[in-house]
Formats: sequence, structure tokens, C-alpha cells
Amino acid sequence: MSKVGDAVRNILECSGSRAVMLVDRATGHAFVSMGEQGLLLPAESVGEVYQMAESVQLAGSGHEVVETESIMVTTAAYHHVIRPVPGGGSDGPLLSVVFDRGRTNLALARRELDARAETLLA
Amino acid sequence: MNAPGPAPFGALATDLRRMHEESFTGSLRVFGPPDTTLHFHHGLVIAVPTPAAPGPDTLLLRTGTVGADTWATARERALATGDLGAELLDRGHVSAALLELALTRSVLDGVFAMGLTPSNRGGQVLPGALPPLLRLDEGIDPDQALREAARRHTNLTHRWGPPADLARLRPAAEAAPERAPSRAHHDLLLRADGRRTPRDLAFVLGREVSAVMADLTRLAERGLIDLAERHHEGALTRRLPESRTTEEKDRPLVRRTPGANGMRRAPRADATLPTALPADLAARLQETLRAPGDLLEGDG
Repeated sequence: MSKVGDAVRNILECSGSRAVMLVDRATGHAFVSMGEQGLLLPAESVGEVYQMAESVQLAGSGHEVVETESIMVTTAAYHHVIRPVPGGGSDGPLLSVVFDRGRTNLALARRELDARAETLLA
Repeated sequence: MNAPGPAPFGALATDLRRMHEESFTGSLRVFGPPDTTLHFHHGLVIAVPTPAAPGPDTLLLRTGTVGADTWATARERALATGDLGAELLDRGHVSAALLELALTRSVLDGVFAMGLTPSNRGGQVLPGALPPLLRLDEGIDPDQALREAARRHTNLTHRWGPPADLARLRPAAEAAPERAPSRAHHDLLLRADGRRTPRDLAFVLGREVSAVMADLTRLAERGLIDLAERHHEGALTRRLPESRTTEEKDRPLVRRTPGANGMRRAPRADATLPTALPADLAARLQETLRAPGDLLEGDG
């Protein structure tokens, strides 16, 4: 297992997590993906969704660049969370995590994800 | 396994697959321009140094992940050990995951950049060649690297056009960097001055060429950057003569006086200085020239 793989496995161990992917925002390359692959968004889409959110955020904040912390898409069965990895610089990778909605308290899951993401590249 | 590889790599893919199957260790130099070297360890690609794309050193240094002084010290030690990655990790200069990401990005981008110059022809196999100081511990299957590079080429082609054409352009910002939706785009707009190619921008920013090109197409779609081709007459900038003012145009040409530019002898020390100075001041100056010990005195 690669070092990045080890770090991503730690994210998969978040309570309620079903699948995880580490994606390069600009190119849409999936460095690592784990868990139930069929639940994950396509890697290219993860980067595009994040950038679309950034553009919307820019338009809605008086054209002031404010860092996008995370994007959440909730379906009847899952919470999809996309967020940048701290410490990756301005072109850092994105984490895409799928949580089982029936087993997850979203607020707690986000807090746990934030804590684990902090150490992913540290 | 002899099927041609994904465009634009074609026949090269066959060679890389064979090296993977043979668990090759050494390097393959693919002739360019520019020449690209693929380093293998047990059939997996561990580094792809090429002038066409930033290496892991640029990715780590330009982004400030590792400081220049720290890098220089670690590199000096690594010249003895042969493993710069281990030096950086042992001294805690970078995390293992961050280093691996930079190395992976560099390998994939190096393969991508090879596809920008379809003139790559032939190569030289160097079994057992020494690997570079900085390389992946666990390499990448060459077929996987080619597929990823081909995917990036295809994406750029769909978004904009042939990546090889995009690579030759010199993008110019059409909007203030503040209008960029993210920090990465902001930095790109800041440096896209119409003189730098995507490769130049990648080296300046410490990013992959493929990532820079992808972001350039996104910025162009939003009208924030101009990707139009600029025509230059030649490699060198031609300086045009400045237009003369009306006064200069009316002034007659200067007439050359025969002998006016000839070499003139220096006056003798005892010569009377042709000067418009007052008589008493001229006399004092003449006296100074004749002062005892003056080298001029011997000539008189």
C-alpha cells in the first residue's frame, strides 16, 4: 500500500463512510479510491463540481474569493462530501467521501472528516 | 498485448508494455525534441524527467512545500546516499504522502508532455541505468500512466482543441486576477502575460503542465483569459525606428567637414592653452602645468 493509500484508508475509517477518493482538481485524476466504487462520483466530475461551486460562491460574495470548505450533496441514501485537503497548497487534491445517510449524523461525520483530513498530508 | 497504445502515444505504448512484462529495471530515453527519460524499476515507471514538464523538485520548491535552503542541504547529502526522498523524509522536511503525490504527479505529467511532441521518434534502452535522486518507491504501471495521459489529452481536445496547439500558445489574462474563482486560477491569471507558454507557467507556478492547460481552458471558457494565437515575425523582437518629430524632419543634414574627425595630437606642455579663460586665470593654469616634478616638464 502506498503512503497516500495509507492516509486515505484512515478517511475510510470515519464512522458511516462507505467510499473515499482522492482526486486532482485540475486534471480530474483519481490518485486513490477505496470502498464501494459504485457509490463514488466520477473523478472528473468531482473537480468540476468543486470548481462550479467556487464560481457560484464568487458570484454570491461580491466577487471576494472565500475558500470553499466543502460541498455536500444529500440523496435519500447517502451524503456525498467533497472538500479540499489541508496542506496541499493552492492546487491541492480534493477528497470525495460517501457516507451512509442511515448510519450517519452529518454534523458529527463532518467534524470527524475534518479532523482526519487535517492529517492526510501532514 | 501488441495492440497500439492510446493516442497520441501509439507505438511507444508497445515498448513500454514490453518493459513492464519483462520487469525491466533501467531507463528508456525517448528521443524528442525534447528528449524524455523514463526510469523503470521492476517494470514500473518511477520517474520521468523531461524539459517539457516540471519535475518533482519544481513542484515541491515552487509551491513552498520545501524551502530552497533545506532542499540544497538534503540534496547535498543525497549525492552520497543516492536517495533524496529518504533524506527529505528522515529529516521531516516533507510528509511521505505529500512527497508521493508530487512524484506521482510528475510521472503522469512527464508522460502527458511526451504526447505534446508527436515528433518523438526512437529511443535508447539503458538497462541498469542509475535512477534519479528523487523517484517513486512504488512505481506506476506504464499502461496506467499512458491511459491517464491519453485521458488528459482527450479532455483537452474536447474542451478546446489539440493539446499540442494549446501548448504553443502564450495565454494573456483578460481580467484582473481578483475575478478568478480560486487561488490556483488567481495565480494563473496573475502570470499569464501573453509571453509565457503553458509550460512556462507550469514551471513558474510549480504545477503540472497538464493541470495548467486544463485550468487555462476553464478560464478561457469564462472569458477570463485569451488563448488566441499571437503571430510573431521571428524569435527576436524587431525594434522599429522611432518616428521623427517635425523639427527633426525640417533640420538639414549635418555637413561633414573633411579632416574634422581626424586624430588630434595633445598640446605640448609649454604650448599656450587655447582658452577663453580670463588672462590671469589662464596664466595660473599654465603655471600649474609646468610645476616641478610634473611629468610634462621633461617633455618640454
